[in-house]
Amino acid sequence: MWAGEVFAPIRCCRCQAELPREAIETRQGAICPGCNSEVIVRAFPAILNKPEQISPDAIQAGEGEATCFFHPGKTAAASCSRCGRFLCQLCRVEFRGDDWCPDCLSSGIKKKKIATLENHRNLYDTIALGITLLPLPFFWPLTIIGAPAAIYVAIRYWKAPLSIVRRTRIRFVAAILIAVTQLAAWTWLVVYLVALAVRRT
Amino acid sequence: MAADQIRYTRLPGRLRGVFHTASLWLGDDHLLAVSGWRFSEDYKRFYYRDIQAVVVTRTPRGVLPVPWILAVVVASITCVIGYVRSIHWLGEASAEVLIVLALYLLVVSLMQSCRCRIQTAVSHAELPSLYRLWSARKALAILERRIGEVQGALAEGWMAHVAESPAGFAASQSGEAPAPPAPPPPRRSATPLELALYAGLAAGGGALLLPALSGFWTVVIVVQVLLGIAVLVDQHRRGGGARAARIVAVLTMALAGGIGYVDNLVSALQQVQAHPGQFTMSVRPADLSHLPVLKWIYVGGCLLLAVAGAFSALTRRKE
Repeated sequence: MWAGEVFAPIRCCRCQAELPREAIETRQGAICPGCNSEVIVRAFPAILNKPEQISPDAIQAGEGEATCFFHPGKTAAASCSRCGRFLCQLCRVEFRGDDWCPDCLSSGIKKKKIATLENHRNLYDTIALGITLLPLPFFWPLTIIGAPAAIYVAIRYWKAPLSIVRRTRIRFVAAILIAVTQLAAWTWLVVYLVALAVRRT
Repeated sequence: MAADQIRYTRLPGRLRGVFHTASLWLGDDHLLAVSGWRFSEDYKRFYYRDIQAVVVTRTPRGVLPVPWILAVVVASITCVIGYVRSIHWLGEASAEVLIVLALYLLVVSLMQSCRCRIQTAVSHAELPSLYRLWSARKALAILERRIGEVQGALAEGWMAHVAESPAGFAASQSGEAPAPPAPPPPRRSATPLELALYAGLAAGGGALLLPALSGFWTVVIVVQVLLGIAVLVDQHRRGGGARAARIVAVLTMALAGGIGYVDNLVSALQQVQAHPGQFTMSVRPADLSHLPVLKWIYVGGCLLLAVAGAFSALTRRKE
């Protein structure tokens, strides 16, 4: 029997073939029938969960009942924990143990107030470090542009949120130190060349 | 911010490619998959209560992590130094290290690599950080324990029980054919910057072949490096873009920058030999005429990259 007959199919990562029940049930490795690769599967009880189904008739508002802010014809089942609007089963979003309305959720994401829903961040500390270091192996004269740019980025974005999982500003510090060293080297070079030219004339 | 208060613990397994990085982190109630393009990071969260299955498939993979590339570069440099300066033991030892590194990488890529995927009720996602079997096994053990704390465990013989009284998710879908995998996203055609890079490469290779233009070589390599940077920045801004273009851009920067460095180094050494004890600096338009081998490496490299880039651009346009 194939697993897909009783719950959502589990597929091999290599050939996308549906894995048989023996492969899912065993704690040891099994062989994929599609590509003969060794497969290790760990299934969890959530695989048997039936998704909640809401019938439109069941949430139709009756006479004198509180209704949803977004769907006036539907019974209110909860209120938004942020703005207090009444919400039906369709509009209610469970998040962090509270009920949220779709508006509060989307504005929270847009304004980056709900950081647990953030799905992208620019790493300005790595950008600053990259601007100072990348010209070195490729074309060092670009450091004359890169060093001031790195200092600007480091200062401008010092307080910008870093990676969600890494929180030190050591890369900013390193970028500033390297950029200052590069600028010092350029200054020395210019002074040296000017002095040389003056001495020759 | 609230998320900044969440403490994450890194799971074993970490992809550190030239461009792409990936890692997995355990949060209080979710697994965070971080994938980065060096200067930015994308996050995916899988709540422990929603994870249905994790699948690991043993398969050969050609992943080349940055630490390995650095090790190969260091070994290659010491190998060259050993043979050029006649320090034979250094050259031989470095060559042996290179061979061991290459063999190890080959064996591990063929025998001990895998793909890993996580499944929830509404999504499947590849976990690129788990590309070696040993780290996948370790991560799976930790993840299984954490998910077990939230969901509990499936009873012994659960599959037989489910088959007898199918109250599971897809009981109503019995007999339906599984949905085919989603088609790959359409590929973009070549951007003007990419085309400018390929043109710059062809012009760079051609400039050195024509004696009248060879004086502009310094300008040409500066333009090539700048075009390479522009392509990389543009691709990053577009959110990925074409892999072939990124590779050509990096190789262009490495070729132009590397040749430029070697040229400068050799001319500095020649000046030191000509005027011992006297330090002189000059920025001159080079033409590599004093280094014929390097000249042909540069010309060949430029033309090869230009052809490879143009080929990839044309192939994409046909699609």
